[in-house]
Amino acid sequence: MKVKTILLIDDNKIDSYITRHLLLKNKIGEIFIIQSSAIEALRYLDSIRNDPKHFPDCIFLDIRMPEMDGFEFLDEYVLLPDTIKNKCDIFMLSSSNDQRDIDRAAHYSYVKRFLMKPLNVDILKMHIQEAG
Amino acid sequence: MINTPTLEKLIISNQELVLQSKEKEKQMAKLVIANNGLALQHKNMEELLVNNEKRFRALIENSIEMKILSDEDGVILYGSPSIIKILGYSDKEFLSMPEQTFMHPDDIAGYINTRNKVLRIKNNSGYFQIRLLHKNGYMVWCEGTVTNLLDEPGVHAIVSNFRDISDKKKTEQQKEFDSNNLYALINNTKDLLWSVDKDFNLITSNERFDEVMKLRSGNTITKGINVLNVTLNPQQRKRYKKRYERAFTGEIFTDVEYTNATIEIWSETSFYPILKGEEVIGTACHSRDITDRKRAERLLRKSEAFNLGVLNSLTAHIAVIDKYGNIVAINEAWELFAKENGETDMQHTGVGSNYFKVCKKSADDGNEVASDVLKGIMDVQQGKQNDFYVEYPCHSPNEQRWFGMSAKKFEGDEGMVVVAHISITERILAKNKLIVTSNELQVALSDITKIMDSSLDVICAVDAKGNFLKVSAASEAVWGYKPEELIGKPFINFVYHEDSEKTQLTAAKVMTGNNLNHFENRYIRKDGSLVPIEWTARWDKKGQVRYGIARDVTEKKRLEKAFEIERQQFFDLFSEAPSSMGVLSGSGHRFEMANPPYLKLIGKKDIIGKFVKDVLPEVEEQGFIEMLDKVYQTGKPFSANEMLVKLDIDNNEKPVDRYLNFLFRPHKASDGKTDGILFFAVDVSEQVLSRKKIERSESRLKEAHKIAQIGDWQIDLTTNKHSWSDEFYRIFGTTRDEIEPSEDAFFSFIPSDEMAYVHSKVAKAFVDLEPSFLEFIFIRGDGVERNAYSEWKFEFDENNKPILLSGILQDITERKKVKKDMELTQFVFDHASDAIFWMSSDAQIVKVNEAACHSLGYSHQELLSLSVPDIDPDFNMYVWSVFFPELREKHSISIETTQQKKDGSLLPVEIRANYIKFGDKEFSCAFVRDITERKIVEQNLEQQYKELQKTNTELDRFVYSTSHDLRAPLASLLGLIEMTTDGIDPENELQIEYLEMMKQSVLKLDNFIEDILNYSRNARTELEKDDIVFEDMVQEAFVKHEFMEEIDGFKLKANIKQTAEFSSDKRRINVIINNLISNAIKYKDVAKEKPFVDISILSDKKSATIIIEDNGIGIAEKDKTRIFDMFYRASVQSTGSGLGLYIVKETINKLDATIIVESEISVGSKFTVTITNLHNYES
Repeated sequence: MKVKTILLIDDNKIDSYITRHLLLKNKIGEIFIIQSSAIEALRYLDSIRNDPKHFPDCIFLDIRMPEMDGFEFLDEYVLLPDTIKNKCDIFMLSSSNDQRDIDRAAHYSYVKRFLMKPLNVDILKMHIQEAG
Repeated sequence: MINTPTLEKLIISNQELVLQSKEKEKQMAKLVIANNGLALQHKNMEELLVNNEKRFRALIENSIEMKILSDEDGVILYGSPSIIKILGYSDKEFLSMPEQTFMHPDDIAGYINTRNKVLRIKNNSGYFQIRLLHKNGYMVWCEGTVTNLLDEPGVHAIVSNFRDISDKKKTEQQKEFDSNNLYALINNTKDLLWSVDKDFNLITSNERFDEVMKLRSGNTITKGINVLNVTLNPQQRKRYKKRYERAFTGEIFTDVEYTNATIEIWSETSFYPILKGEEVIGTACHSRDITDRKRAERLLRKSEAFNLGVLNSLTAHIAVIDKYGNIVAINEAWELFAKENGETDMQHTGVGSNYFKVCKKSADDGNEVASDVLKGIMDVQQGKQNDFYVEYPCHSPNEQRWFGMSAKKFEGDEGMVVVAHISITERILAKNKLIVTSNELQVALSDITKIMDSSLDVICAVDAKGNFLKVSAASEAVWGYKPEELIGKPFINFVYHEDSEKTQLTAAKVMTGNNLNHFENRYIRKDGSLVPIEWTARWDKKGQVRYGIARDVTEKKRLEKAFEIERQQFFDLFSEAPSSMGVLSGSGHRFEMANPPYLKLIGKKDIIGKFVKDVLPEVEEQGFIEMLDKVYQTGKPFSANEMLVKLDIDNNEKPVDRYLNFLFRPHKASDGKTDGILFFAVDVSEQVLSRKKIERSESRLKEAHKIAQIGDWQIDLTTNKHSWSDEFYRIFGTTRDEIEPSEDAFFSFIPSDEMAYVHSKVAKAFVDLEPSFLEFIFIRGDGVERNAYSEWKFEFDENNKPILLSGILQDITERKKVKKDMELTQFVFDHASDAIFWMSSDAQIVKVNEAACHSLGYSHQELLSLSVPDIDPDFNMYVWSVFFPELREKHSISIETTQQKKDGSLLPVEIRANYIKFGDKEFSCAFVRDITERKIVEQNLEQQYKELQKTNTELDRFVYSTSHDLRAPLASLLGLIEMTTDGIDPENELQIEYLEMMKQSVLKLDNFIEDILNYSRNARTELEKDDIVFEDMVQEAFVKHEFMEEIDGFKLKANIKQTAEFSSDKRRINVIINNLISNAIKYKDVAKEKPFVDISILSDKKSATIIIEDNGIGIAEKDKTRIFDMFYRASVQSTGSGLGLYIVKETINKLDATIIVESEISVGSKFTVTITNLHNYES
């Protein structure tokens, strides 16, 4: 499966920039939607719920964010239509290496993998291939 | 119940109350006036005045007391606001109206009266009670005062203060109603009620009293008159004065008085002092006519006297004797007879003397009758025969006398016998005379020629007209007439006129040819006396002559009369006898006679003439008809004692069990054949049932003694017969066959050195005759020395003579031994520092030591009266009921609980309860230790632990934030360095090198942070338990290291064998594995062609062994002990923080795991970690 549309959710714009750069460099994804707030991201997803061609193939989600953190986003995300969720893989992308965060992320079935910043594209590739 | 004095008091106190309240009103009015005056005096103090004004207005307006100001004519000028509340009128409706408008018509006059009085004098006030009209139409009872303040400057009005007293009125009315009722009661009673003061003046009296007094004195009684002056004669006056004065002392008493002025009157008068406080102010009196009662009492006494008279008028000499022969009662005839015979002082035959002794003395003097009598009475007493009767001669020097003596058991009173002597002299004399007479007759008859003349009977011939033709010489003896005086005269002239009619009728009958036998009539003797004659007559048809033989039957008559009396006496005895008796006749057993007790026994009436089987169908199947048949056929009596008979007494076909002593005695006709059966029965059900009860309880006692291994012994002191129970023999280790019970036999078991002691004790027992006990040593049958305990008591007869000694015997050897053993234990127990409690199975505290008392602050005695819940409220009976069976099972239980001391304070304790069984008794023996100190330490510890936990949580949160916040910028930086490197010209090597250096620096910092965080996490966080799959864990570790800088050409190898589920702290094991792998990569030996790290894990149910082996640079021997130190870096090749292995070691410690290092420089290193499997296989 070809990863075309990617949604990046991170309050740190530098990190989003770096991630986008690393993905582009490795030819992963074509369209990048960058949201600096989890709430905004949810709103965006809700706005495109009837527009399958804009559904993201992949979401990179930071954990520690103001207002709504990554896990809170996931709790809201499950309420979205299956049509969106079934098409989309979520990768947690965080600077945290705390085992509790890792374990917690594993409880969400939509989360494909917990990745540590900076993004190690080799590891990512392995998982995208798996998913494909 | 309210008695008069109380009522008086009530009335008095109520009046006082009213007076008091009036007084208060007055005082209040005065106060108001005074206050008003005061205010006016200080006119210049305007401020004060205004304030006062306000205060008063507030007072008035908020008071529930109503206030009306009116002018001289009664027109209302002002009404306080409370009027709206209570009477419902607004100012508008109220003001300018005359006061009367609002009053009950009946009350207006009274109010005006009071008001007018008040009007006359200024500042005067008056009290009134009045009904006021409520706006809604009903009346409100009010009381108040009206005050004339017309001249008061600033007031100029009549002021009425009043308040609603409806409730009070209601109560008063109720009280009035109650007292009306009470007065009605008092006045309607037939008893006299009155009260007098200390001057004997009448205070109150009821109508009856007035009525009676009026009757006596003719004057109307008025209150206040001196009661002593009413109708009393000087004597009565004196008496009454005394009584009143007695009552004035405060005494309550009752006197009975008898007067017999015109008619007999008994009266009973009670006096009650009337108290005012402590002082007696008068007396209340209550008098009742008890004449009827007294008359009834007198009648009763008369009837008692009558009964005694009847007994005394009996000619039979009667005495009642008890089972020892003591005479307990005699009648007059007995006493008279004794006195006539020289027993003037009644020493031998009066009440209290012993009849047996008299008989015995007489018997010893050779009087056979006396010994028969003695035996007979005893037989009756012992129930060997129902009664005893003997006739005996008892001649005095002056006359010949015969007596019939009977002894009969007194039913219902054990051993009591009624002895009766009846004079039968006349009967005996008559009998004897009869014998003589008939003998004489026989002689006379032998001479045929002298038949007629010598005949004692008159032989005569009478012609058809009834004139004597011939009369034998006996006529003189019989009638007093010589034959010649009779011949030719009509016989009827000599017949007693009452008998003439039947005589003529009979004579006519004879003349029709009917022979006459045994006809009786009375003739008038010459001397005028009557003589009963028995006739035998025959009519000689041929000669037209009646022959007759006339016999003087005076003697016979007398005998008959005696017989009749006797029969009557028997019949009386028969009907009055306490035992049942009767007569059956014929083979079908028809009731001829039955006395009332018998009818009562069988619960039937009208049985005479009926057959037994019809009257008592229920006895047929019980075999009684058969018994009767047998008695009837064989002529042999049948008797049975305490035979169970089921009788349908209630006639409801539900037979009742009766135990009877009975006797069937055949009645023989003159021909010797049985023609009937006499029956006697005594209902002994009560005795039998109560005896059975006793027997049952005795057998229970016996059983109980057997179970308790208590032997019984008895000495019959009258016969000196000893008896020992089976258990007694068992205790002495002998048998009935071996030894006979006796005093000597008993002493044969006592060892010689104990003998004197036991002898003295036994001797003392017989002197004291008191219940007592003895502990002694004896040698058992098998020669073993044992200890015994015996206690006993004496039983006495009526004369306080000991007749029976009975006691118990117990072998107490074991008990003694235990006691001895216990003494040592006791010492330990008493002086133990731990509190010791013994509890019985029902949680009762039965034994405690000093420490126990001390610890709870109770005394020894107090503790022994408590149970577990009293000293440990948490340990209620329910908890105990669960606890004790558990203790019985486990034998020892330790618990921590709180005991409550006597002062209520709580004491934390540790209890070790032990189960102990003594015989059939179960105990909990608890050792209790005060753990207050420990508890304090524990609490402190817990507190510290909580604080520590809090600190830990806070630190943990800090660590978590740090891990993110410190690492985030580093991650960004690494990403940026990477980007920059990507975008740079590959030719610009210097820049690439700088960037690489930047990257290494950042990585180093990142690692350091990671290490610090790992260390912190390990130190702070508790051990967690996760399921571990080593395969996955190693794969993850490999992935993590695959992208390391130094990984090029490095080989990661794994060999994992996990045979069972494994649990441990996943994060910590990860730290260990990751650190060791990362070390292996970091310190690879660049000289080696194929650097590698080999991980092998072997895990089973018990543990996991992780071996991480590399072919790196190895560790120098000197460093081996230091590599685990903090910040120690052995190699220059190291890029690390020097924390890695320190963290590994700390983690190993936390996991309670082990790590072994084997290494050789340039060869490689091998770390062997062993971790315990925490998986719980049991569940």
